[in-house]
Order: sequence, then C-alpha cells, then structure tokens
Amino acid sequence: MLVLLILLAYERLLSYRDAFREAETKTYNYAAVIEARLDSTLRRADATLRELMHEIPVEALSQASLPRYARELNATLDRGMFNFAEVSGIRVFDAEGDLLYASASEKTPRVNIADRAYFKTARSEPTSTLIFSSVLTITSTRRLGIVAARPLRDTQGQFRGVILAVIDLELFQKLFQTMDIGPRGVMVIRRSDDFTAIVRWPVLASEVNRALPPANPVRQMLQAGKTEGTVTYAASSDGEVRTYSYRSVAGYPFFVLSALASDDVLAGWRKQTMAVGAIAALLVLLIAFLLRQLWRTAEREFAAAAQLRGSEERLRLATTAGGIGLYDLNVQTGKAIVNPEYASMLGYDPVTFEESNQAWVDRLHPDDKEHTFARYSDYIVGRSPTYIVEFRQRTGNGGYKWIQSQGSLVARDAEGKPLRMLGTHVDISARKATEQSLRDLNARLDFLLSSSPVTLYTSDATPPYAATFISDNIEAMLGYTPHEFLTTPDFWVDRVHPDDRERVIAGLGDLFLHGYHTHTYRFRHHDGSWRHMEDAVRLIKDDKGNPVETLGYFVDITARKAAEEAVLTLNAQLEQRVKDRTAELEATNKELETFTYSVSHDLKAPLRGIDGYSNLLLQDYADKLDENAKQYLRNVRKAAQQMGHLINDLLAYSKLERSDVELAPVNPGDVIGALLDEFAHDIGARHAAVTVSANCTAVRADRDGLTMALRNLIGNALKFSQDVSQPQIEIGNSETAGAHLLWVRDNGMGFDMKYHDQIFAIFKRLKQGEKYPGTGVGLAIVHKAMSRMGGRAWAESTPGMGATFYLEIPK
Amino acid sequence: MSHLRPIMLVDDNEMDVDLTLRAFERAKLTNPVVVARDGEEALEWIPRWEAGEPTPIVILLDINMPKIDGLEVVRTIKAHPSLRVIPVVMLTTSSVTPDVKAAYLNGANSYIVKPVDFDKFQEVATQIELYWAVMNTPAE
Repeated sequence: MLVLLILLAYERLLSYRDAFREAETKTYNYAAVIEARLDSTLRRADATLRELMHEIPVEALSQASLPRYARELNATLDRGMFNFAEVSGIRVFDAEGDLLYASASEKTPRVNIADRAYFKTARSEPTSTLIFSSVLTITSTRRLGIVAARPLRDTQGQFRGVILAVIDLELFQKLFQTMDIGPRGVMVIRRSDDFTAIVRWPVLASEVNRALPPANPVRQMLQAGKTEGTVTYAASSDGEVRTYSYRSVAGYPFFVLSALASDDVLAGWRKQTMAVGAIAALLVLLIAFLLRQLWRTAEREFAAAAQLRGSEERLRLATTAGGIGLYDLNVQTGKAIVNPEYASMLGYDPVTFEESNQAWVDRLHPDDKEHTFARYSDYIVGRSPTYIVEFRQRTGNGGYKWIQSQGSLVARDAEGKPLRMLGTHVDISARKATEQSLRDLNARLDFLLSSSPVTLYTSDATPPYAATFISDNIEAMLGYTPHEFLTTPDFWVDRVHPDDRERVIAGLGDLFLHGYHTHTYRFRHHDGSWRHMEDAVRLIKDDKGNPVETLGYFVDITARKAAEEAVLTLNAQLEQRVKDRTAELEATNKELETFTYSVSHDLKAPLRGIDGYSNLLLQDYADKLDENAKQYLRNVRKAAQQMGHLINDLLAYSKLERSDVELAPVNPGDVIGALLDEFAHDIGARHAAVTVSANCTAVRADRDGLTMALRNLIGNALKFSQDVSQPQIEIGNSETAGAHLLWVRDNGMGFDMKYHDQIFAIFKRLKQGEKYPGTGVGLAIVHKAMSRMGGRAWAESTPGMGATFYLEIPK
Repeated sequence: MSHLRPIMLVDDNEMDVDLTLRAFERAKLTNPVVVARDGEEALEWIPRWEAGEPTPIVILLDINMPKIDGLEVVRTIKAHPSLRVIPVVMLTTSSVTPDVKAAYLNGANSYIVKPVDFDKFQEVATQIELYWAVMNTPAE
C-alpha cells in the first residue's frame, strides 16, 4: 500500500509540473494568437491609411473643398472600411482638427480633435508617421477604442491634417472573452512605449491607461530587449500569482500579455489531487479496516483459545492443587468413577484404587456413619435441597481424614429413582484441626482467666472508663458479677474510695502520656468493706495512634497491704530494739572496759607488792638467807611477773575485742623501729643479731593491732632463740598481688608444724612451757589483731631449725 | 640535805609508795620525797607552797586514785599561775592510750608505766633521778 501511495504522490508531482507547463504553453499560445490578430489589424489599418492617404489630394484637406470632394472621398473611406470589422471608422481631419471626410459620414459626429494628444503630436512632430492614441471612448459608438493616426503633409512637409482609423478595442475584448484563461486569468494589450494598458480582460477600471510598474518582470524583460517570454510573478494590481506570456507586436508599439493564475492552473490539479487523495484515503481506510477486522478476528480466536486453555488449566488446578476429588457415582450399581486426586487424597494409589459405594461406606468412621447416611437419604428423598456433609474416611495408612463431600443428583431413571450422582471430595482435615485447636485454645483461655489470681479487664479510653470486659473471677474477688460491671458505666468509678478517687482519675492522665500506669486505691467490696486494689492498666492504640481502649488487671492486695503494714511496724519495733540493744551493748562495753581496766590496774598493784618485797628481801637479807630461801624468793618473783604478763596480755586481747579497727596508712618500718627500741635491752642482753630488711613504706593496717602483733612476734623470736649461741632474728617483707607480707624469722628452737593451729589458740602453749615464760595469749593476740584488719597470720617451722612467722596485710 | 628540793609522790597504794621509796634509795635519789595518799592531800600542799615552802622538782602522780583522781590534780596544778611550772609525771599501770592522751590533754609533762618487775621499777627511778631530778635541779 505504501508503494501505491508513493506512486500516487509521484504522479501528482508530475501532473503539478505538467499543469504549469500547460499554463505556460497556453498563455504563450493565447499571446501568440492575440498578437497575430493585433498585428494583422494594425498592419491592415496602417496599410489602409497609407493607401487612402494617396487617394486624398492635398487640396481636399480644407473645409472649402468639402462639397467637391466629400462624396467621393467618403465613399473611398467607406471602401477602406469594407470587411474591416476591427475598424469602426476612418476619418480625415483638417489642420485645425475639424472633421472633413469620414466613413459612414452621416453617423459620424463632427467633432474637433485639435485638443487630442495624438493630433497635437501629428501637428507638431514633423517626423511622425503613425501615431497611436491612448484608449478612449469613441463618441459615435460609445465603445472603447484606439486611434491610429497619420499626419497628412503637403509636398513641403507642411501639416495639412490627419487621417485616422478608429480601432475598436471591444472586439479584442470579446476575443479575450472567448479564451479560457480561468477565473483569475488576464489578457492585456499594452503599449510598449509607456506600458499602459490598452485593453484588458477581465475589465479592471483602475488598470485602464495605467502602466506596468518599473519592477514588473515583463516590463524589465521588454526593456531588456526580449520581445517575447514567459514568466511567473505576482501582479502588483491585485497580487495574484500568474504565469504571464508576453509577445510584442513587431513594428507597432504594442505587446500582448496573456496570463493564467497559478490558482486557476492548479485548481484543476488540486481538484484532481483531492479526488485522487480521497480515493487513496478511502482505499487506505478500506484496507486498514479490512486488516483490523482480520486482526480482531485473529485476536478473538487467540483469546478464545487462551481462555479455553485457562479454564482447562484452572479446572485442572482446582481439582489437583485444590485438593478436590471428583466422583461420578452410579447410584444403582454402586460403582463410581473417580479422579486420581480422589484416591491420593485418601492415601491410596490412584492406579489401583477402585471406588464403590460399599467401599466408601466401609471406610467411613463408625461415629460418622449415622449422620452421613441421614444427610444422604434426606437429599435423595428430597427433604434437603443439597447434599453436603463432613465425615472421616479411613486412609491408606490406617488413620482417618476429615473429608467434606458435596454432590448432586444429575440423572434419575425412567421410574424417577436416582441414577447418577456427581460430586466432590475436599480434604478439610486442616480446617478441622484448626477448629479443634481453636476450641482448645479458647478452653485454655477461659480456664486461665477464671483461675487467674488477677481480674483482667478492658475498658473505654474515656471517662467514666466503663468496663467492656471483665473476667469471671471478679465475683470471687469483689463479690460483683461481670454483668454489673459491664452494664453500668459508672460502676467502677462509684466504688473507688472517695478519698482516692481524685488521685486515681488524675493518675490516669499518666496513662495517656506513657501508655501504661499502675496505681493502688481502695475499692468497695460487695459486702461494704474496703479492699486495697492494685490496678495496672495499659493503653491500647490503633495504628494511627489514637486511644481505643484500655487493658488491665487488678488484684486485691488488702492482705499484702496489711502484711506491709505489719512489716513496717515490726521493722520499727526491730529498729527500736536494735537501738536499745546497741545502747545496752555500748553500756556493757563501757562497763567492761572500765572493769577490765580497773581489774588489771587493781590486780597489778598487789603483784608489784609481791615482786617488790620479794626483791627487797633478796637484796636486803641476802646474807641471812640460804640458797634455797633465795630460790624460793626468786620463784615468788617469777610467778608474780608471770601474772603481770598475763594480765597485760589479757588486757591487750580484750582491747582487741572491744576497740574499733582503724585502718590507716602505716609505715611498718617505723613500727619495727619503735619496737626494736622497746626490746633494745633484751636484744643487747641476749646478744641477738637483728637484721631488718623490711623496706615497704606503707601498708593499710590498724596501727595498734600491727604493733601488738609485731611486738609479740619479736618478743617470741627473742624468747625462743635464747638457747642458741648466736641468736639471729630477721625481719623482712615481701609483696603479692593482693597483700603485703611481713615476716619475723628466728633461728631458735622452732616447733612441730602439726601444732601450727594450736599455738595460735588462746592459752594453748606447747609443752616446753616452763622453760620459756609465756602466757599462751601472745599468738592469739597476733591472730586476732591480723584477722581484725582483714589479714592473717601463720608460721613455718622445723624443730631445731627456727621459725618464721608471717603477717599478711591486704592491700 | 634540806637544800634539795623534794620529789612529790602522789599514790594511794601503800606498798607501791614503799617500794618506790626503796627504789629511790637504791637509785641513790637523795631528794626528800613528799608523799600524798590521794589527790586531796596533794592539793592541800598548794597553799603551803604558796606560803613559801619549797616546791617539788617533780610531781609523780598516779592517775587512778580514789576521791580526787590524778587527772584532777594535774589540771589544778597546771592551772595554777605559779605552780604550773612544776613538771608532772603520770604513773600509769599501762600505756593505755586514752589515759595517756587524757593525761597529756590535762597538762601532764610525761608518763611512766608502773612496772610489776621491781628491777624495772628501779630503772624507772633511775630515769627519774637522772632526768627530772638532776637535770632540772638548778645548780646550787
């Protein structure tokens, strides 16, 4: 079709060009025709004039000669007019312009033509031969014409008059009219000297005697010397685009212009083109329409086929993926045709499975048989319009599956008895399971709700916060039924204790702020008593965040409150008792301290006496006493001193019990130094070598305790190394990650490690007691002092090889 | 030797007093010893000293005594405009810190622990002699 359109278009293009060419040809031809006619007319007129000129003697060219020559010359002029339609009259005028002779003289008006331009020219121009006038209306005929005049001169060349021929222009106009130049075409005869129009068709009054403008292409071409040509341009007179052919008349100052308007030229072409176009468009539409129809049909077929496939597929899917088994039962024979899905749904191999009514009955669960048969017979008999029933069928592996069967009777036999039934089996075990679990869940929920110790509720999110649900245990808790709560909007608010009401309502503002709130208040029990309730409530919002309802629980906490009160009271009482006890204890402590102090003080005094007087005895009466007596006295002294030590140690020990531990930075070096000063005498007396390698600067300890401990250790070291010839005592320190260690080593007698724990016990002394004076309290003091400051004391020893006592002070 | 100023001993324990005097003897302490049995007796000396009797070069004072206790005596002596210059040494049964502290707080100059051991007692006496008596006695 495209090719066709291209061909058509090409043809149109060609005919477009042809039209113009035709126009050119036409105008050319017309111009030629007119030119030929004009030419011949002018030539003949001119020839006639010249001929006639010879027949007019000079002397006839005066008014006086008229009578003589008139008849003859008029006739001559008439003869010149013979068969000369284009000329409407030939006249002769004298030198003054008066008419002398004329063809059809009777009809010719006797006008004077002295004022005519051509006459003036004839008279004044001695060389003029043939003169044309401009277009004028011929007086006699009232038609447009043009005068061709020849001056008459005598032999001396003197102007004697003119002889003229009046050329009828309207003839040419008529001639123009016969030519097919179209509605906008133009035929013009113009003068080629001043380009004014002589005669024009169609007549345009404004154009008469108007010249072609200098810019006009034809004028320019004529002026350039081209006597004929064709050119297309828009006319200045009316703006119409035309194809102009012009032709100059040879020998006479005229040219013919014949023009066809492009619109006219193309009008035909346009009509044709439109026709062609219309036909082509029509053809295209027709073809398109046909094609569309074809396409549509094809589409429909395709869609129909697809739809068919689709529904086939759906049916297939429905019956397989949907778990639908189909059966076609012959009611009378009991045989059924089933689809594979029917069999596989029940866990049987579709290939080997054969269904019959009996087989189906056999597979029914015993508990479902009765109601299934009932439904079936209802339907068959007509009591029920539909057959739809749920039952359990035994599956291939021995279990049971819930099936929903839907069927309808599609044929009855001639007697109206049921013949054929079609139906579906749907596996509803999943649904049944869900239903069951839902029931279980509900049961469980109910159980939980009713046995919960708290009452669950939901209520409106706006005052008066009427309850929308209350669990059953409200009755046990507060003696009201849920119904009472739910039917009266103000039920809850009215039973809140008046003193608590304001606080409770205000507190609910918090609920809206944070989404949850817990408060306690008093609530009136059905029996009138006030119960303390703890109420925890949560705000439930929809997905836009607007409050929808509240969900909460409350609990009767009266018992708890009472318990709390009791606890508080007990606590207060306890506090009081503790205070009292502490006071008592402090008092006791104080007493004990005073007691201990005074006891030691008072005990020591007599000891001083015993020791002192014994000593005095020894000193003053030495000569009167024998060695035995002296020994007795020495023993007395020793005993007294021993008792003094014991009292001191006991005092120290009890002080440890009673005083507070003051942990402060202590410089062990200082303590050791002070102690060595204390023992300086003893050290010197025993010739003991004491080396101090302890170099730690500060430990965190109880100063008094540490001092006591070290005093005891150093004292012990000295005491138990007294039998060694060169007693050596070492005091040193070391450090672990968590503690400082101070140790005192001696090279004395040592002890058996199996007595390690014993020696730190109070009053426990090892067997060698008498030899080494001691109270048995010393190491107990060491132990207590260290444990009080969070440290510990222990020892390492080998009998005969000395002992090392360790003090551990935590950091 | 009346030109030696006395040492005052304030102690309620007879035996202690006796022993102390004997200890002073053995220590060659020749100053006369003035004994007051309790605080009250000690304070009765004050008017006598004010009247011109020679003041002791040192007062040895047992802290624990009936009636007016040693601390009271210290306080009184130390508050006295002219007698406060007299050195006061506390005699205590133990170096129990609160007692010592209390003594110092009340103006005592020093303290000595009363030993049970008589040898030590003599040592103490010697110390007293060396330091308080000899050192503090103006050259005569």
